[in-house]
Amino acid sequence: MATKLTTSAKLITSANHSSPAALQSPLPDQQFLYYSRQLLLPDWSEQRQLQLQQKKVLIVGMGGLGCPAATYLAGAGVGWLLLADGDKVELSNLPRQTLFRVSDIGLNKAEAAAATLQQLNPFIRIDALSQMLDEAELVRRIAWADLVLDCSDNLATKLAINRICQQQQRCWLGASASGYQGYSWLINPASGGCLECLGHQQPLLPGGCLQQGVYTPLVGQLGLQLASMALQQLANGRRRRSFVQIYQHHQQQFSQCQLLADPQCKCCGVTADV
Amino acid sequence: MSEKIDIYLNGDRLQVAVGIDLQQLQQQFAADQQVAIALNTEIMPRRCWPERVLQARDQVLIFNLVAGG
Ligand SMILES: [Zn+2]
Repeated sequence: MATKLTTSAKLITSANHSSPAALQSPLPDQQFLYYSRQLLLPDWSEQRQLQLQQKKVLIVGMGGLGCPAATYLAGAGVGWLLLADGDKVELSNLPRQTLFRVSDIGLNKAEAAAATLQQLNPFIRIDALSQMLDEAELVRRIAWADLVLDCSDNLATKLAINRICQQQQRCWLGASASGYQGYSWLINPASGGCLECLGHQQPLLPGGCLQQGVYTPLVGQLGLQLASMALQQLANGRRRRSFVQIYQHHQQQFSQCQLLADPQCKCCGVTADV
Repeated sequence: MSEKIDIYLNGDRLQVAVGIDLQQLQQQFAADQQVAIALNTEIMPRRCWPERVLQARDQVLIFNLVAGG
């Protein structure tokens, strides 16, 4: 009888640890099982999984953006996550900062998040920095990372990351949200455009989540966008042009727009070469 | 009566005066707000706003700059 391996049979075979293919796997059995659904994706492989295990990601801010971003990067198998946040968990954080529970109130956010994420994925390294990073520390940590995610909740930190990534010519990701307004970005210094070109150089009106509130699902969506963009960036190192994804609440959609460089920008101020 | 053109502002069709530029549009619809403007899926640097005269069927997105997370 002719045998034809069906799609479902292939799936079972590839996820079965007693199969020869699994025995030859470069991934340890438990990790093969842990990442099995991801490994079934057509463009994923054990090689790609191993490459991801070599990557280091710095996440600045473990609030409404950082929690979902870190959750999915940990689940995907980024090898080393460094989480930075100087704040403590408060009751008002729990609706959208999904790594925290009532029992975490009063604990440092980076440390509490690292503990939860380590339970989620014991196969990666997760470290916590439990203080606000000053300029010198940001310079050092950004240089260490393969990719930086700005999930902070204040303009000063965002501008500092923008400036340092520009100086170090590092591609980076970030997001901002307040009320029903929000957007995420990928900034590639080689292609021109930066957060100051977007208009962030001017002091923003008093606002932020403390005054304006924030639409809970929006920060979750932005955090997931960051995780997905980060995985793409880490996997193939694709040098994309700088762009911003803008949330439009009434249409319930995001619009992706290219970020044009301001030739006179004080931060980037050079023409594109990508 | 001045001539008008149709544009799209944040997804809604809108009639504006011929010759209006991005800066005038911002002053008309988002005065006193700190915003960025995308024109036909390109975010325009603020200093370019006065030079960019709108054309019929242009798609404009005006959005608030925020810094929360
Ligand atoms: Zn710039």
